[in-house]
Amino acid sequence: MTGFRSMGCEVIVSCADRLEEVRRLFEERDHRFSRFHDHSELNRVNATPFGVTLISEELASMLSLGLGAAHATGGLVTPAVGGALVGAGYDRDFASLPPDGDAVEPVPVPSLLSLRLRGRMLLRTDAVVLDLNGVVKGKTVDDALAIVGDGWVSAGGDIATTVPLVVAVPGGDSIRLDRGGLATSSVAQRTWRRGGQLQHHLIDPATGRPARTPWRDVTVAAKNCVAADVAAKAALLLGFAGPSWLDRRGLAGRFVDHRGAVHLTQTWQQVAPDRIAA
Amino acid sequence: MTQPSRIELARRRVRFVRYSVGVTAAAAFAVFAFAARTAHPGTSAGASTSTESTAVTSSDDPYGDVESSDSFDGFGSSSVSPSYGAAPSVQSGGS
Repeated sequence: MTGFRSMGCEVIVSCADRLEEVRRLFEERDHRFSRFHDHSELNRVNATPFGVTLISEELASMLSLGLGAAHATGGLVTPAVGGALVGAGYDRDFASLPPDGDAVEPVPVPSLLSLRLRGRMLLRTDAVVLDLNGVVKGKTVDDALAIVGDGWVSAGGDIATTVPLVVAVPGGDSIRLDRGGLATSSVAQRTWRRGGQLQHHLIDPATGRPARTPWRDVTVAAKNCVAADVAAKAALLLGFAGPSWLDRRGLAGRFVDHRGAVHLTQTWQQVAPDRIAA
Repeated sequence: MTQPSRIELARRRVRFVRYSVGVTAAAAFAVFAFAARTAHPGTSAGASTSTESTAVTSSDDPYGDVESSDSFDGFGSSSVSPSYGAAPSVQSGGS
């Protein structure tokens, strides 16, 4: 088991053999898709957030994935959220964010009707600042696992595995993940204040503000890491409707509220019962 | 009848320019999209229609108009089970 830091988190790989390949993959994705690297392609595209732009195949592929995630979540996990994140104060690498600052006003999240992607041609008919954090880390974990082969990869606790793996989850429990992906979204991590008001990185597209949700942490298991991460974010943003949204899709989900109480979806109860269901 | 103020005239010019930019961008995108589609091997003359991509969404899709072979393909399911007290190898949490 070995690792390195990338994308603002600790990346752990089950075996050292392919570590350098995995590290290069993370660094390449981070430099291309980060809002926090001045020369990233994403920042070049965001510098003119309107009109027709020819983008790389890599960005087109990742943006396509992000738009697909938006489709699958009814627009909750959207790549059009960049402007709202900047508006909430998340305008630089989290480690460099000042803990407090001037009060901020919400920035509306543009409709995805403002975005058109055809091959490498991107059209934005309104100002749309892109943010791909909803999918980049999870997709990179999945692609890293393809490099590793038999084993597992974790980035900041978002995991993909082909072998049985015991994973500690928020609240003190653990679960065995036999294969697939597991991810946790949390409003307790990556928080800061503006005008004394607590901010976090999970924006509710309906308000343009950091989501007000009864859940502190949501953990979801799915077929791969990016699917688990997208589902966890959507379930957290949905609030009390999150558990039933996961159950309708047959996804095992585990919710921890702000008092630390654990709630399980029916699907999670069936596969790994340990607490009373939500 | 009062003449529009200079500010109002300037606003009108800005609106006109923005509208023109939007229309031009949309037209340019349509041309590029048509050219890209025409040049695509799956849609070029002689190609079998059965090989065309099925990942294209309709233009009135409220979540964007996407043509790609690498789009999000659903949530699926994983295999999880109780850990029965085994020591965890890794922690999930906090993304």
